[in-house]
Amino acid sequence: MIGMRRRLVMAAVASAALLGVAGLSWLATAAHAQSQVPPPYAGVKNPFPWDNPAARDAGKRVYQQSCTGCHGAAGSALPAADFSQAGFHQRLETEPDYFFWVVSEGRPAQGMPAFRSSLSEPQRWQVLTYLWSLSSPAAPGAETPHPGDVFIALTAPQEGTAGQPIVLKAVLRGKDGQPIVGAAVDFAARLYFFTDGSIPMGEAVTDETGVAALTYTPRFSGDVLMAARYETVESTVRVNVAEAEQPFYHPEAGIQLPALGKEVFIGPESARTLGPLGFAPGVSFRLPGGALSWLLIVAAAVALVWATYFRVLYQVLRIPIGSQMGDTDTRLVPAIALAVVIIVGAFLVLKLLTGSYSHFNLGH
Amino acid sequence: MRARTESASQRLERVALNPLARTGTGYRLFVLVLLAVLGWGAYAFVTQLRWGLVSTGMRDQVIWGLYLVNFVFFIGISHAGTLVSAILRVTQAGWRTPVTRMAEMITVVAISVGALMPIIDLGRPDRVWHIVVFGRFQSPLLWDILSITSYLTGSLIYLYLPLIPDIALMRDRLGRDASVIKRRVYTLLAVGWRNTPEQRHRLEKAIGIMAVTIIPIAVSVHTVVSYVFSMTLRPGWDSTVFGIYFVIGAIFSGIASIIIVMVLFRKIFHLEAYITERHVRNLGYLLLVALLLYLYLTVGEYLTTGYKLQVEDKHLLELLLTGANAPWFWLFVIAGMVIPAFLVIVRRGPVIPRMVVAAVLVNVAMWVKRFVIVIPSLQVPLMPFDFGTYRPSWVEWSITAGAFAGFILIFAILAKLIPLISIWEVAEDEQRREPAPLAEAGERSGLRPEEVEALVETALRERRRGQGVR
Repeated sequence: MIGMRRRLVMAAVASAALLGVAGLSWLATAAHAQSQVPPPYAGVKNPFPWDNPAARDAGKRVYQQSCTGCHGAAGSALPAADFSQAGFHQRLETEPDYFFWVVSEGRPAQGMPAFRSSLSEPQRWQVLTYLWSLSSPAAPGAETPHPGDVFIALTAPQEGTAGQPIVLKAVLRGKDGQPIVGAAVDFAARLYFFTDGSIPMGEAVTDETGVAALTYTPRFSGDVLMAARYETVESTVRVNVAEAEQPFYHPEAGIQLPALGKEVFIGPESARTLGPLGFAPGVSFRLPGGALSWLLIVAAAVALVWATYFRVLYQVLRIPIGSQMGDTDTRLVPAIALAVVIIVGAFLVLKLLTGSYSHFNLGH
Repeated sequence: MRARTESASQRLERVALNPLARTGTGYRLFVLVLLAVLGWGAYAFVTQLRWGLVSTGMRDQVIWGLYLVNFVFFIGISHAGTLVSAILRVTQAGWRTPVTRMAEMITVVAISVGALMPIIDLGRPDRVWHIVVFGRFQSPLLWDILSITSYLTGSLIYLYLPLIPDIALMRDRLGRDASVIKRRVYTLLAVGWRNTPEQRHRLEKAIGIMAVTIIPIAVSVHTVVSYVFSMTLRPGWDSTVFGIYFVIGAIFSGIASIIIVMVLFRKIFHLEAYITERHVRNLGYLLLVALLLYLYLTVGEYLTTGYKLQVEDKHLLELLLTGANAPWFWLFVIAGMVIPAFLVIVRRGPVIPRMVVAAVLVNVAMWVKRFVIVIPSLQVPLMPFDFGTYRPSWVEWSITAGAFAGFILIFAILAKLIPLISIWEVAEDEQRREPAPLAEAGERSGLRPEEVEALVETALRERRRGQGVR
């Protein structure tokens, strides 16, 4: 409660600094929402009944696409806007116009975007209808197990290191204590990056003992809250992820391309890994080896060009001899040209294929 | 009637072969001047060999100077040649025939001079052999060797093939006083050409194959030249657009070179009848297309760099736009882009002087542009040191002058050895003209209407006779 109040004060101070008088009036808006909703939104009502399952399901889909990134799958990721807290559905029922206004125009100062242009009006109401179902105990026909019916517990090592995999295990039990088998559990990390956010880590399916295990390699560090969520129930655990001592991301220089043969590597062995702080290594060259290496394509292109020269000069060589040309060998020039083309062309192609740094010498 | 026909074709031969037969004092003087400049360049090169590269303006930061600028420039105008001529041939542009020979000559000469430049750039030119012995295919320098060798060979073949019928003509027209060597060389080079249908078929097939083959090779050459720069992590060079940027730049300066060479030879050797205003105007339009493409790529290149503006890019753009290299950069923009565009677009005044001014400006500006590509990038420090400086020494300027003199000299000598316009192709072209637009045809070829009429009649008679035989 103290934390929440402090956040509110901080938000107020920040908003006041940023927006001056406008920020102050917005504070008043936050306090007395229903009276301050601006004209286009003031007094609007949800066209759908709050317990309409069709609207709720449509809203759930929109929510999963547009809202889970910040608010979390259960709507409880942001304490300042916790849709799963008891009584939230009553606030929705009493002041729908206020919430519709927030969804439509956003809260730029707090990082809430405006959805007026990206979501249609019915879609926005559908989302609110879905939000209603998150806290309402009386959501009829809910496909989701009611909180309390399902129990989830997340376990994870207390310490981890960025770049090193850790195993997260979530135990899922039904009301009767029986394991829930084959259920998909979502794992996410709660991080603060300009705003509170949730980074999806992955999904795992529970086995026959009701345990969903996820191996995850964090690329961030710090004291991170990791969460496992199944439908509306969630369990969190705090993991202290230490900074990596060495660059862990992409520690290998170059790109591993699929190849038919052994890779050709030219350069010092030290060039295979990145230097300290991820700096690029010394000059090296990596090529996919085997029959489809680009070197062979280049060699084939060069061979094709010189074969064309050969063909053209051969045409000249085959120009028939005029009858009164007996005294001179008119084929001398094209014959010499053909010889030059064969020698230079063969040299260039062989140079490519057998040079001291070519595949032949390095691929084996 | 028959006499007149003879006179038309004789006139073509006389005009085209005239430069080969007569050599005036002016020509000898010109060659002497060129030889003097070339000799001065050779002296500068000897100086450089003797004292090493310290006699140039190149130092540890700015490691490339005028030599590499010349290299890119000459390889660039070599595109004139073959690429433009091959494209015109493949697209069967009817006006191409008097243009192609000169374009192909530019290619062969420019690429020969250009390929020398990196060797002059070496401190130990004798070690150029090492790239053959130790060359590694992961080095763009070896790619350069590959494609430039292929391009030089290809353009030599492509120059030689359409020459065969003309060499045969010269062989047959040699006077009694011609030396034995000259007679023998022409006979050998003419490969027994008698202009029979079968010979013609083979030759045209060979030319057709070469015209298609030479286009991708020409594109590859300048792409690979650009890779020498763009495969490094230098500001201004580290760019994915460099391949096509260099190719378009090469075509741009190449077309400008053709215009200059064509108009010069037209004037000197009185080829007005065959190289008409129409040819210059058409090439001017090609020049404009290349200019607009190059402008687009230039704007795109500097805009994407300047928008992100990393520290090194900022240094580079400051050097270019307001700093030490700004005069060069803006000279390129104004003399290479703005003025030539206006000269082509605003159709006021005589065509030929307008196009020549545009072409000269473009070639000067494109040389400067290559300077602006090579030098400022090297001046930007990538480590916390000071900016590099570069001031070409007299050795570099002399060798550059020698290179240009050599380029012109080879051209002047070639003009005395082979016809500057493809006689058989021009003659064929004139025969192919239909009788209907007689006046237009005369205007195009510069023939009098009676001559055109006579030509057409002969052509028709020959065609009828040919059909009878078949």
